[in-house]
Amino acid sequence: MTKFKFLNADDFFNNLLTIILFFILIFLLVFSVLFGKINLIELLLSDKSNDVKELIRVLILEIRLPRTILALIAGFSLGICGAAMQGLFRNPLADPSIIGVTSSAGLGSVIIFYFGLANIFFFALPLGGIIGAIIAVMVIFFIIQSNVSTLVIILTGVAISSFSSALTSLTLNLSPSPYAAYEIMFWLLGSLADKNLNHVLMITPITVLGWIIIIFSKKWFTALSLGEETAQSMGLDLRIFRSKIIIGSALSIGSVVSITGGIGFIGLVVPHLLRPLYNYNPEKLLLPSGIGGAIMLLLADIFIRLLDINPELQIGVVTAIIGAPFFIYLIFYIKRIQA
Amino acid sequence: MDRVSLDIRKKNILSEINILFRSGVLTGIVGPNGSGKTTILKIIANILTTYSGSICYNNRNYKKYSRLDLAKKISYLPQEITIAWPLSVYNVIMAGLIPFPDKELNNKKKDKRVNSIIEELNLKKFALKSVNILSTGERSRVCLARALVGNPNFLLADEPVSSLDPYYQLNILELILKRVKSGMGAIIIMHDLDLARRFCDNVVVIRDGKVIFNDRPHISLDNKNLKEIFAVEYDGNKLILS
Amino acid sequence: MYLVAIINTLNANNITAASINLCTDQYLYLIANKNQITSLSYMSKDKNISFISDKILDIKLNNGRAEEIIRQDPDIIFAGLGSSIATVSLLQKLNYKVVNISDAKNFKQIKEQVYLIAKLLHREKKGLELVNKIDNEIKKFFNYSKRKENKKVIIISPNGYVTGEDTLVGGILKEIGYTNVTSNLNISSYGRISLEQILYSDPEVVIIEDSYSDSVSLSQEFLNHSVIKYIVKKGEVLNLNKKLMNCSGPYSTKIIKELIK
Repeated sequence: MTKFKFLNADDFFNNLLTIILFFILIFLLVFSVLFGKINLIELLLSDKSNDVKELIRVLILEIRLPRTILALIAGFSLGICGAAMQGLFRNPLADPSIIGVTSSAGLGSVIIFYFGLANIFFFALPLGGIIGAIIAVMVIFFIIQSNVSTLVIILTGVAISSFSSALTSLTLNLSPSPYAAYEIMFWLLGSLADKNLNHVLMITPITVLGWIIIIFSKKWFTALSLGEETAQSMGLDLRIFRSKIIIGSALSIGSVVSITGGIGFIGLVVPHLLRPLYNYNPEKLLLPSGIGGAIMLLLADIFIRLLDINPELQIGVVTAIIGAPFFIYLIFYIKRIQA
Repeated sequence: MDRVSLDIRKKNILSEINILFRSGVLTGIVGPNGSGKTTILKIIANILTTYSGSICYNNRNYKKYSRLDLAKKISYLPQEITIAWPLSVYNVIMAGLIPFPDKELNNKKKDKRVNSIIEELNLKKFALKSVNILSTGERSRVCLARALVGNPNFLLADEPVSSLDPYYQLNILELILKRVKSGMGAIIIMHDLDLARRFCDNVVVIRDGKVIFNDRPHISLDNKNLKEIFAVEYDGNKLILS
Repeated sequence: MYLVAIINTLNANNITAASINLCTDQYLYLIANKNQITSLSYMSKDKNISFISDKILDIKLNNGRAEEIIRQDPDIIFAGLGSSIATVSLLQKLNYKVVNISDAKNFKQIKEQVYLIAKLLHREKKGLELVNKIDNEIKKFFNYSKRKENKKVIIISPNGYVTGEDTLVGGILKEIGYTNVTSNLNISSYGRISLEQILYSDPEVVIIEDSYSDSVSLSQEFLNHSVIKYIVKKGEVLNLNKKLMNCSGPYSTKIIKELIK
């Protein structure tokens, strides 16, 4: 039956777009590894000694690769979780950083890290972030119940963010390390700098598990866009679905934040830009949002490395400079379509 | 013939509900506001699962069916429909096939089903438009198409026509009636007593969470009952305050 | 004659002082008479960074806040580079005499600072004694010719901060004969550089400053990065007492002693 030829064409266009995004991502990954303060190619051409080879090995393996993979994982998580939460709350403003999940994940990580609990076992630090994230989402659900009005979501997010930020600051002040108090910037704005492969190994399995949980429940996002009751009448067990999305997002966001700090707005900007290209279909939007999030974070990271400001800019500064005006635009957009 | 039998209670809302619904019958549920009509419908739709007593589908308890199995047999059209994103009409209708796994119904077959209901409900000219730009009446037809696309054995609808223009009121009810004639069961909460008398095969009157009458419309909605429950009565063909 | 001396001592003892900075804490401890000191900063009690932490048990400590200082009403308040500008200007507004002692970049400055503080406290004799002691130690320790052949050195602190040649430690290292990697990076005193720059600078001698190794922070975690481990493994590590990397003031001669070992 090909009465509506464009429908199949739509699918074709969507898949093509996803493949294009994927190739852009690959290009950026390679660029991110090759690009930096040290010009690899020049170095290789000028000197072929073993010393230089060793230097390049350490440079790629210990500095550039961890940073690049971290940008990929963090960006993908922020993008896919943004799309998932917007699907769950049926609201385009439900971004992990707006609703306060990022900052409370930061609080959980800070408590574990600065009191020296991170070495208890390998995944202790991400676990702190995950617990923080879960608490935030639970509080949001408790407060908003099924009232998903935009205002309530934003206000709840503001309350949770301020509260977690304050407690983060308090924890840093109470920490025995004299450096801690100056590290609030990292936790509030995030950074990908100076991380090593161990950090990447610590969060990758947990984060990817989060993505899988979200992607496996994807068909219900479309059902949910027709309303909670309609979705339930279609066979959705809302409580189980909610728990899956909360746990999936908390696993991803919580562990990412525990290593990169709170990078905001990616989950807000990326799904919104891609949504019309995927016919507003919330389930088709998940994977592209992940890829798009990784692209945006890699671009932001390459940008701050290009800027060459010393000390390096926090990456959250760049995402917020793009994201915050976008957030205001979105509020107007929502006002317009609701009117 | 398929049947749904209810024997349920729910604290503070439903005191005793005992009804049997059959396929091929259009049952109207009427009653004053707050009498528990919507609660009953949500329980049948498997949205509310906390109640005492039991519901059986074809003499088998609801709890023994999987959610998806019930969703394939019974579809629900809520009173207020807010669609979160400006999805296209085609996609909204396609969502009605979510309970059917791809193994059962592949994409090609799904597309065929959607196209045939678009034809049936005469939605072709909007098919690719966003539901958000349609009029209320057109959107109701899209939502009805979504509820019917899986060919359910029962359609549950909560006041599907109460906010519509007369044209769409009749249009929607006639579309449902057509399906009922070909064997589907329909359970519809009605606001408009005239329309209930005209379209329903059976009318269940609910008050204070109790079934008061369950009979043919002219019996359920005779003047004595109307006076007692709704404080109105028929004067010839006109409803007047009693 | 005898009487005049007694009066002079009394006068001297009348001048009281507080310090809100670790550098001046240590100066004050060595120069002032104990009853001249109204309070020292709480940092002087920190055994990680202070040489006098176990010697000042009966001296009051302050948190560097104006209200604590005012209550003790000292004649002079010694502050340093790291002191809060707000506190200093508030104290000055309240007509207190605040003396700023900057970070000394060489021994000449240290000796000048000793003289200045001693003069303000009327403890010139004690000051002279201290300067002589410093001079003697410098002579004793610096008694060598240049013996390191231009080895590249890096001093890394938490968070990627590096110390350049225009500092006390950097200056001493230069005097000994090291080349500081910061000289190619446009950093004269202190600056922050990236892991890539640290790796690329390819140092032969590494000095790592971690004054608070018993606590955790992201800044300190920088020092555990595999790249730092790599350059440490590749090069030679020079240990410097934690206390000497911060403000060691009159104790700074120990830096030479440790670096030429």
